[in-house]
Amino acid sequence: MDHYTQIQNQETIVSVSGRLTFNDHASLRALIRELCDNETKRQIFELSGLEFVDSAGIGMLLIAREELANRSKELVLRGATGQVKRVFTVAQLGKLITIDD
Amino acid sequence: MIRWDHVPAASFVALHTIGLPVEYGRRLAALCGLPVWEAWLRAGRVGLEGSDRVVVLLAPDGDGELEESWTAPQVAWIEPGNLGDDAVRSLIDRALAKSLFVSLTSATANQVFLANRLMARLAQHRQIAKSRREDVELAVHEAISNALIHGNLQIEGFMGMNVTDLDAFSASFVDRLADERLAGRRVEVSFELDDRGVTVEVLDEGGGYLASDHPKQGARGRGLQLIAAAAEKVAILDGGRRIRTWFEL
Repeated sequence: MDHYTQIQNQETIVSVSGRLTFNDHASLRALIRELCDNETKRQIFELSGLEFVDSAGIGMLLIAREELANRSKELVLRGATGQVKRVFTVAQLGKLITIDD
Repeated sequence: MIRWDHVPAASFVALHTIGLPVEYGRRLAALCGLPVWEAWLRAGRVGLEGSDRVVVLLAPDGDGELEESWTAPQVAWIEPGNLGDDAVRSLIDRALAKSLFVSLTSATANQVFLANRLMARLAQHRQIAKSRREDVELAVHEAISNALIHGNLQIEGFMGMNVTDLDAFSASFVDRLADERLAGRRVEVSFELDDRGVTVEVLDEGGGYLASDHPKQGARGRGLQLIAAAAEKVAILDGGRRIRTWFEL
């Protein structure tokens, strides 16, 4: 997985690309820390460049949501397509995280 | 499009070694009664038939990542690791009966997008709709991840939804991969095509588990749910060390 972060209009936008799997545990951990520590309340994962996500990837997104909620911050998932969008549906992720298409 | 769906388990046409000593490849090829890949090419057999199947022996140092290692006519990939010649030969014999076959150590399996490689290889022979290919790939990936993480490396997933669990997972993952005994345990994946679909089996060398021990929550449970969503049939065998799935294609 690759990602880059930019802050626009009081929002943090994280553009994620490649494959998000269990192997990304270290980079996801670092990203969660960065998002928890920044100044913005709304954190948007822009996922149009993400090709593949697995169950561990879903689990890590849920951890990110939980950690951000504990700091009164919001996580929004945006732009998922193809396999990623279908997995979100199967996992009923929309019940737990705001998915903004 | 070449079809090799109904190729009988006759033989491989050659043995190809990547990243291993030439002498080792020659010895194993002789043991199996096969020509080495280079000799087979020199004999003018460049016009590949759909039924030409090549078995690859891979070094553990990441050469398996090379794109061409995973394309036709390769159908079986075996990392000898610390196995003796007879054990490698017996894996080659097992691979004969399969459409595609992989046996890697956990350390190497962790470095390769194995499910992606295998589905790409499968798609060279059978047309599969993109969405179906992705769904089957996810299910195969989840089965391989379970075999690797929970089976061979004996790591519990992150059950809770907090960074403490994620940190614990990361720490265990690094520790267990550094343990040669665990990192050397093998993951085996086989694809067997039939008229209507493909049977995929994933084996590990871990301690196994009882389905009743694992609630649907947690990492392994979530993976199994995704497998069940894509597969028409799922069977957990050998005390949890083998999962057999069938996907309609």
